[in-house]
Amino acid sequence: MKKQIKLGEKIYDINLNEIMPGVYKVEINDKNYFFQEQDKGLEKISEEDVIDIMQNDEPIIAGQGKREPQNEIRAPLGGTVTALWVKPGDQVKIGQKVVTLIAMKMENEIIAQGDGTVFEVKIAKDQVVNKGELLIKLKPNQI
Amino acid sequence: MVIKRFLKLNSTQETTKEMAKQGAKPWTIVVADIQEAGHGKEKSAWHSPEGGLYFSVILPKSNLDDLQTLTILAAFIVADTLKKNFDIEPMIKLPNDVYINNKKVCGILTQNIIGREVKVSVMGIGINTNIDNIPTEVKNIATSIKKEINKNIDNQKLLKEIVSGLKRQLKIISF
Repeated sequence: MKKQIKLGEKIYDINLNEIMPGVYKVEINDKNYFFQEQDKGLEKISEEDVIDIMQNDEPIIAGQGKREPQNEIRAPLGGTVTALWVKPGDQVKIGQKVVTLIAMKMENEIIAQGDGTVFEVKIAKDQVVNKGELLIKLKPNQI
Repeated sequence: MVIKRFLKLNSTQETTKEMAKQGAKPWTIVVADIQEAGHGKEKSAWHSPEGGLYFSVILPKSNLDDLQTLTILAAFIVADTLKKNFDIEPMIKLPNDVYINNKKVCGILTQNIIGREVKVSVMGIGINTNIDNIPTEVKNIATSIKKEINKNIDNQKLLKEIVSGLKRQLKIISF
């Protein structure tokens, strides 16, 4: 929506766009301002906030999402295995939690990227693993 | 910054992680007056009665190194904010706890969900602000800011200052 407003002697070219659901860009004389719908109405946000919002992608729900063929799950970082959520023979779905690793002072849930059957679990609880180490072998389902 | 306030939750961290999985935006903040099952790493209990500040924030997708740095920096941000506002001398127990007079007042937990890359990161922060009674079993190791300075704390102001600090730091370490 474009509009021209005259305030006193000054003319303002205003262009309003909803760039994402609930996020608005207001251009005033070629300068951009961003607003987001919140509980108490619109709140001004920064361009960085908009980038952050745009970075967010599809929800992670076990069984939903873009599948990738996956026949192994490797440690994305070094750390200690604090929980194993699957055992050989288990069916796993995309997005399903398979291993918890405590690493770099953070708790990390490792999830499957595709559907399949657990063929082999290469690690044990409390084991320290290195980045890139094989955690689980999978027999992927056909995509 | 979107702040979702709740009177009572089991855990701000669990609620926020679920919201993030469902697609909630980065810098969404969940704050609860009371947590019935507040926890730190590996579900260690965090006593969360009314008066304390308990919140979790969805972090923007970042690489793991930045998230590790931010987790450690979060303790510095909390300590710095407490020092500036309340004229106290907090100590940081690395990587992510804050102490006053050798007793813990704040704990920080970052949890990530990782597939091919980092999918979700949620940081939870619990601060004993306006808590009058510390449970007997942790009395020797925990305290509250109110007990230390004998003043009430504005939880909402503190929350906003800490989250603004996190945003500033993440921007610095990510670029």
